[in-house]
Amino acid sequence: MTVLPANVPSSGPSTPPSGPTPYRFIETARAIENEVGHVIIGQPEVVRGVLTCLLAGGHALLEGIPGLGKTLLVRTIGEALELSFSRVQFTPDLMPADITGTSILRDGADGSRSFEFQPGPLFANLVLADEVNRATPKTQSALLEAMQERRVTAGRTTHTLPEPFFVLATQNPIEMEGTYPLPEAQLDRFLFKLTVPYPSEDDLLRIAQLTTGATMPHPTRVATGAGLLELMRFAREVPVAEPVLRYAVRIVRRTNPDTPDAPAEIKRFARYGSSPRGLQAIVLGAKVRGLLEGRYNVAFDDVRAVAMAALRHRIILGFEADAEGVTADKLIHDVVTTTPEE
Amino acid sequence: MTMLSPAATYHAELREQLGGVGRALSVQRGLLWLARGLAVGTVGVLGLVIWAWIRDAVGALPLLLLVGLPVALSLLTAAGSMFIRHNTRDLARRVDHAARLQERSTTALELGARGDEFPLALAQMRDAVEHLKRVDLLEAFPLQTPRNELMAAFFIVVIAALIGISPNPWLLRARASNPAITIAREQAQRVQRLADSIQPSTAELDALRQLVSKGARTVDARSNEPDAALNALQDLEEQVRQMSAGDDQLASALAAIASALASDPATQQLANAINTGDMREISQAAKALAAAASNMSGQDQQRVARVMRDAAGRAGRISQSVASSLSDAADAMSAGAGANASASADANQMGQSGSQSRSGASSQSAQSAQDALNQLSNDAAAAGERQRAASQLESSRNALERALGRTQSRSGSTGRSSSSSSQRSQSSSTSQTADQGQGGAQGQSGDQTGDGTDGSGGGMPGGDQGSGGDTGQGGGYSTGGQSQNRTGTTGSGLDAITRPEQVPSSGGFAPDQSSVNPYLGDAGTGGAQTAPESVQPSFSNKPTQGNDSGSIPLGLRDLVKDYFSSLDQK
Repeated sequence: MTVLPANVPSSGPSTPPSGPTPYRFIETARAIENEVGHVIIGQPEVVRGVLTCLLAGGHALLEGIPGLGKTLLVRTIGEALELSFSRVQFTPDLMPADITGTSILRDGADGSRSFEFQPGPLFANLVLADEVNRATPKTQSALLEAMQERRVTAGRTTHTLPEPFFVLATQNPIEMEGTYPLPEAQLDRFLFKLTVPYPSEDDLLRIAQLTTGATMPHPTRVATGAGLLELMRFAREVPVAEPVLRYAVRIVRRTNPDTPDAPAEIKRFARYGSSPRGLQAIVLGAKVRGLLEGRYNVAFDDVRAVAMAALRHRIILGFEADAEGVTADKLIHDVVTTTPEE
Repeated sequence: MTMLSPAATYHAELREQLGGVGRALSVQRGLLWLARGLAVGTVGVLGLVIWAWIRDAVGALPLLLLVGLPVALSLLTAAGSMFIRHNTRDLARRVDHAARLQERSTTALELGARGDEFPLALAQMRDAVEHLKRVDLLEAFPLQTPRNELMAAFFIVVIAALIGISPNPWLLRARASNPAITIAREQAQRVQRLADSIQPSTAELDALRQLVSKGARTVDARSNEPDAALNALQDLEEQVRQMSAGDDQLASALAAIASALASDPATQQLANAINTGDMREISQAAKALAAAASNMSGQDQQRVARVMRDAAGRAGRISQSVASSLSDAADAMSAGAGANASASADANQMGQSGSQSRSGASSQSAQSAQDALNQLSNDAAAAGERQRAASQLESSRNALERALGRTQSRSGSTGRSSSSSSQRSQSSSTSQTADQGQGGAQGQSGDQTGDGTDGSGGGMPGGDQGSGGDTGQGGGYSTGGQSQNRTGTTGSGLDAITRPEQVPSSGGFAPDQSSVNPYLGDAGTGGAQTAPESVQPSFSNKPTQGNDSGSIPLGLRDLVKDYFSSLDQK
């Protein structure tokens, strides 16, 4: 499994810059990827995508059929980062309070009674929302405030969530019975939507060898929550040249069917294009990717690399697309390949 | 010493590196534009070749132009492209792309321009500068041969060459259907040969040579349009005639002095030459007399001087310049004779020194006489050349007119020709009046080239009065005039129809039907008198006519033409 591109050490920063931070960023990221890669076999792109999401401070939605290691991936990251981890299995009867927490009546020692807030599973650094589309929209919406504002309001009290706070949700694309598709507003709050592919034959062989033995591999902790926060702040400082930024803007604009220069496919099959959050997701993801590639700047390639994950859940397709089997991935590919750099 | 901030230092270093990139790009661009200029130049050459090919003048295109145009254009565009300054941002973008620097330079340039000093910005700029230093510019911007442009230039050159060497089918067809084109070209070449044969020994002759040469080129350029070529030929003829305006006076004056000169053996040769009417012979005779004058004894000089003074007196009524030349020569010879006599007397009485001074005066006088006679000789030579040119141009025009299917009388009826001929007629008439009947032949010619209302020619009585009328200065024999001449009583025999196709025949006549030939009038009274020189051009045209009509075998045409051309030059 490729953890980091081979050219990182050679084409990385030529000499250590004034502070050790850029180097530390790359080394930490590399270490996380290595540790997760020991456990998660055959999903380097997904691991890289989740890591990018974390370093960019965003939430990720993982989509794939059951058994591909989505939950294991999230748990492994939590272990490698020394973050508090909680898992919520979303079901149709799950209530908002079940995830946000609730106030319970407690008897005091002096016989007094008072309500005490009992934090739900959202109060963790890393929250795995497993099969998030099985919960009702009401419960799904409970995630909205937590994901965007990073706080939870219960009764009259607003509780701030711990930092860093990441929601890694999974959903099963093939089961439609008893599921509630995520509303657009909630989808928009995920920085990336990552598709977990089916492993190759070799990867399956390695999975079988690793997971059916006497011992299971466990990651070692390579970073702390505080260290991760520092890396997140650092990633935001990566400079982006104006032409690159304009390129990202053009890509986002061209996903909108109302844009005059949008591709014909977009105009035909897309109902809505990406919101500005999509642009933010592209830029933040590109910054992290640039650093991971050993640069202190964002390149056009970075924008292209993250555009798919950042936009695929933000384009709302029309019924014609469903009828003709056109996917958002295909439309985004068209947009990215036809958008000029200058 | 100014301390620059790290950001400014990196920025300056980055710009320096980008300057190197700019130079590499300039060389690359220069090479590209060199090839593009070459391609554009070859397109220009192709255009020139096509233009010349249409006009059947590919051979006339100068090779220097065909080679120089693309070369000059390519060098010009290449040099121009080297002066275009590069935009620094564009340089950064291009080097990022060419050297796969992943937008390092572009980002660093922006950071440097903004003066950002935060650690990551400095790290980025340093990273960009160090990456730029490692870029091999020749590898990033290789000097590639602009194949497309060069191939395009090559193919255009090949196409131009193919066009240039291939015959123009339209022209061939046009020539086949219109032999006048070929004849126009031949006449143009003939006129050019005429120009080449004129020796520019004097300013007058040089001007004549240039005029004829320019006219030949014009005729050649218009040879694909025979009508236009004919017009050009007529214009040239007219200009030569205008140059010959004073020649009539010269001829008349010479004719007037012939009898006077014939009275003395020393000037007898000049008188004989004048009687032949050949200006070149007159020129040579005058030159010979000038050469002999210095060797004459005083007595002979006195005698010749008297003859010349007498001749000057006769010429004075017609041409002041001739009279002046003769008078000057006479005065100089008289003075020379006097000096000779004094010198011989002094030699007997005073001694050698006095004799030498007298002898110097005598030689000075002889030189003056020689100069005056040489002037006369030059004038006669120039007149002779003009006469020859006019004659040959007329001959060429006649040939072209015949090729165009116009009879000589018809050509005079065209507006252009008619007007110029009428002008000539008027000028001749004026001259005749002023000359008090001396220019009889001019009167005749004026009649023929003019409106033709007077078939007998108003100047005829003067025709026999002097040899001036015999010099053939009448300027052609029927270039003007309306058709009244042909139906009049004194129609010229030169207008006899010799070519059956000139007779209009619309066909459809039964053998027992008859028609009246509109070109034949009643027979003249026989009163018309034509000087031989007026008829001579017709005779000299015969070989050309023979050539044109095809009565001379093809293999002998050049031989015949060269023979008569050599006669013309003589």
